[in-house]
Amino acid sequence: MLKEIWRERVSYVFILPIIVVYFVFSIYPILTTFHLSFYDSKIVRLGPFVGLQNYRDVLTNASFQQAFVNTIVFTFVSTAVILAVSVVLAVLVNLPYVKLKTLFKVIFFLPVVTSAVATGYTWKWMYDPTFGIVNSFLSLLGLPGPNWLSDPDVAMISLIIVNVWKWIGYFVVILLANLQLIDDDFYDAAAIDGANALQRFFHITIPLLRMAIGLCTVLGIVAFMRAFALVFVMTQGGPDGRTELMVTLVYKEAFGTGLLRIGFSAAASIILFAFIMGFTLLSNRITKLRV
Amino acid sequence: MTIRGRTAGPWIKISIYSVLVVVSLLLAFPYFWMVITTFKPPDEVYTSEIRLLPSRFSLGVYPKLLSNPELPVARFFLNSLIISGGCTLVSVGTAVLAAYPLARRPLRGRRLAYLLIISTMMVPGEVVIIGMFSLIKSLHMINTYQGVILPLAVYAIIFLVIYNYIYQLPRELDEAAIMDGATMGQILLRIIIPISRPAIYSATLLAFLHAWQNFTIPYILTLSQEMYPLSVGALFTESTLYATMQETLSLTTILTVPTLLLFLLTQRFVFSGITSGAVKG
Repeated sequence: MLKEIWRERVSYVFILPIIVVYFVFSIYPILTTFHLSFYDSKIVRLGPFVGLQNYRDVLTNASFQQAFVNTIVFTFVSTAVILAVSVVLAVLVNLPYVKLKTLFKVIFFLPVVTSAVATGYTWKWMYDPTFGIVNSFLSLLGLPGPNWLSDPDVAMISLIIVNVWKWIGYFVVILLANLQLIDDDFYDAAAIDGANALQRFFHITIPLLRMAIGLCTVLGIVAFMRAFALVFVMTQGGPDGRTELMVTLVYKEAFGTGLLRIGFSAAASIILFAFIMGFTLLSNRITKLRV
Repeated sequence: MTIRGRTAGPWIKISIYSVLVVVSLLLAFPYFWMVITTFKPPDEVYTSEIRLLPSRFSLGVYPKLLSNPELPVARFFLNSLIISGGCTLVSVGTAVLAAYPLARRPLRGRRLAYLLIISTMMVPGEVVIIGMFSLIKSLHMINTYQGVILPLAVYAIIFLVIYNYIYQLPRELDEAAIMDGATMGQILLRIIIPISRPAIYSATLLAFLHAWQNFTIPYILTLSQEMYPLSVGALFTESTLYATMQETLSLTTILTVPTLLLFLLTQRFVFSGITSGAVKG
């Protein structure tokens, strides 16, 4: 065995840099976070060991509970809406007689290559109740414009709209690449059997896209559960904590308020990480099932 | 006979194109509005009437912004370039080196190394801000370029794009070279890297876009204006300097336009990178 390893020594040298960088700057920080979650620490100096006390504090904390519910709503509503819209868009763009496929794909993808900060500020000002163009358009149609970001009942919906806007293109591109793999024969056979467009969509397209839809679901959940910049820029978690997400709460507790509750924030991070890991593994299992 | 509706009646075509065009307009409009707003004279910015084009072209607040000593926009831009360039170099470099042996050599611990790399996808920067801050602080890398570049360089998608590409290359390519007694370094430099250029381009673009857009990592790990990239600079401008709408949007325009142009010029490689590994039959 040693001989085998020696013979491939150059290979190991080649692999070493990525392993070192990825371990030190990703795996090690999550281990540190896990470690800190059992101590009552301020900033980086380790405080007394408190066992599961931080987890108890987090789980019984009203702000955390609200942030948790908000994160789940933000993540799942965004994912569901984006999936529904992007499946339809991908199917339409993929129709054989639709021209300019690349142009549509490029336009749909523009928000994906825009930073969340730029997206957040642009929309924040478009939502502005006084100068914002969204309400100007609505009043043109004779509709009353809400206070998009300061009305507690509307703010979360406003953020989800922006998030959907930002990520539709990503899903469309992935779904489109998978649609292009579907053999035309399936559709020809179905058409000969007299299946109409809707029947073909539900009985051929959707089942054959199952894996891609599963993949998009995982990508969406993992990307949206960790959302930070968009919300931080647009609402800072307000009004009344109605748009507070888990990451914005972690940030505030650790760095934002001067309380420097490192142990508390670390425990909240670990809970978030457990959810992300759980959903990733679960979705991997579901999408790997072959019927 | 028409099969699968390979053709469609004019009304169906019109409605399909209408849907696609309306969605395109909704998705592109905010950029148009963002950029146009920065070139409007101030009295046309702060109004509730809808004016899609400015009545006269104005340089907006750009001259003022760029000459404001409290707000080193050029420095923000340079920092963004350094951070994104450094992150691209580290993430693509380490990925190319590792992808070849992991994809093609019968190594012990191959699976373990692969899993370690992939599992970092479940640990995004936002989830480990506490541990990351404590690590970077103990490495004395707070407020340094390397302290931002190295955390951002952990981006497993880059590795996957290159790995997937090298994995599907025909085995004969390097087997012949091994028979001729070529070393690993020679095979990588003369055969694998030249033939994998499309994947390396894709990975390079994705890494650059990823680092340019990121906000959380530099926000937590930098402390002073001289180190801020544009994304953090925009927040600093709005929250600390109480910038006007036009000033903030000017900064987000400077933040957005370079990556949009880069994407428009290279969209083919960006798309092939995004869908590499995301296409499952």
